Amino acid sequence: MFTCIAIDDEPLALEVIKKYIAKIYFLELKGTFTDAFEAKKALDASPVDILFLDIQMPDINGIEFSKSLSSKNTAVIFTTAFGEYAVEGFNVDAIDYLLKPIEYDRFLKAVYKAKEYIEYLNNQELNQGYIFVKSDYQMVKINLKDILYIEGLDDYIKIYLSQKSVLTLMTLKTITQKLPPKEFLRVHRSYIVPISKIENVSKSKIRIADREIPIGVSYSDSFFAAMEDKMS
Amino acid sequence: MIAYTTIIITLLIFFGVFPRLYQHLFGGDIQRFANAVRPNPNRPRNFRPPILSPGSITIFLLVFIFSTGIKVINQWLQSERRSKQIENEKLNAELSFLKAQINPHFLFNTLNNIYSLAADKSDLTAAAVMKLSNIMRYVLTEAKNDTVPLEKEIQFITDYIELQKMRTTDKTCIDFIIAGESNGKQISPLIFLPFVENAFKYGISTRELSPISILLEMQNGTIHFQVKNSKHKYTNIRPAAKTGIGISNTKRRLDLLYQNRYTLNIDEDPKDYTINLNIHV
Repeated sequence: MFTCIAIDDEPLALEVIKKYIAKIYFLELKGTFTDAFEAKKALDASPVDILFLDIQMPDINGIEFSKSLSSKNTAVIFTTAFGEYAVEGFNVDAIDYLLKPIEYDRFLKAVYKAKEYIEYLNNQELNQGYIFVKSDYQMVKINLKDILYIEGLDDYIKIYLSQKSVLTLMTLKTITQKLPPKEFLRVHRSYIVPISKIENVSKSKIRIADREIPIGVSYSDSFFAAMEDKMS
Repeated sequence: MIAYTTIIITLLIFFGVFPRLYQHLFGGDIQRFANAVRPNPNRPRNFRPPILSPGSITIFLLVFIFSTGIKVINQWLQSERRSKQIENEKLNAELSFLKAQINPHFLFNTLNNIYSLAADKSDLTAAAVMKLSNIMRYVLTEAKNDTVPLEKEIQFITDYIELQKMRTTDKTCIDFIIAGESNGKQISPLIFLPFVENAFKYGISTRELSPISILLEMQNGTIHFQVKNSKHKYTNIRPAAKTGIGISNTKRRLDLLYQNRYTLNIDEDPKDYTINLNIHV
């Protein structure tokens, strides 16, 4: 799922965006705001993937607002009634620029653009990303793309790579925060798996590199929802 | 007028009085000199040219006609310039409605709101379309005239405010009071709009309560128009935009159309912004 927030000073304008978002299965609306400052609080607390942002607002200009965003991984889609800010909009790395009234097809196109952009960012993070963990009095580099799965053993975690495994003093919770959340999913109290390494999934088991990983009951819903996005 | 009288009097003195005075003072000397040079026994010794000799009357009339002509042409040019100026200002106001003043933001945002209502199959859709259509028609047809019936201008402002209400959040409450009878009075079109527009432009916040109150009172040929809005610290007013081209245009229009028949007071304190406009029509 891709999370999103919409900001517009006009309630009726938000209604349209709400309706469109509800039609798109991979979007999850985290909230709509007429007050940009409230939205800022929510965004700082938990960043979203896509932000629908009006430009002409009474208390703050949307372009100024987008510059103040702390997360660089948020795809900004500007929505405005009048086209005088288009150039400026693209100067602040907007994904797209929608003119109100917005047609659904045009909206969908912008959303797909944003989706592609976020997936690209995630892939890049995955392919070039790495972490260092302490193991046997050494700092060991681990490329994210090499991780097959991670097993939690009380205070330790065991990171399984294709050739070897690395044992380090860390909890599953701590490592989760260091990994790209769209790729690495908690599937069990003791397991984290990268989606791209999954070979097949049955009702309660995941198969990765000829090993079977159980799906915990309390993690099953979020896991299958994430898998849904990858279904074609 | 003063300059004109001065010219006439000066010319009178110059052509009428001065020769006599001159002769009176130096007459004797000149006479003696003239007699010495060209003695003329037929001329009486104390000859004085009459004040209203045919010569001086002709000169006086010529000057009179000439200066009157200048005066008339001047006046005509001035009134021509003035009506042209009024024409231009009105044209500007009309154009600016579509260009900048009822700005495209208003138009497209309103259309977007109507779109939203229509998508919801809301019962309010038809009324909103009607209001927008009314104000577009007013601007495109009525605003061309020099004056319009006051009721029509009031209806226009009412529709405009109704549409703005649709756009705002529950933080904004709008009071619009009309008191008195318009009694078939005429008014220059779109004269109140810039003040109302500014209230919505600068008086609105989505963070704080932002009341806007508009009062239109008609009494014995005087229209009292008051717009009051709160000020907000977050509202992004650019210093240059604050004095507003809309208001300065309107002031010019008022000067041209209601010279000496209107008063405009703008009161500003840290919390509120109030304009009071009185027009005698």
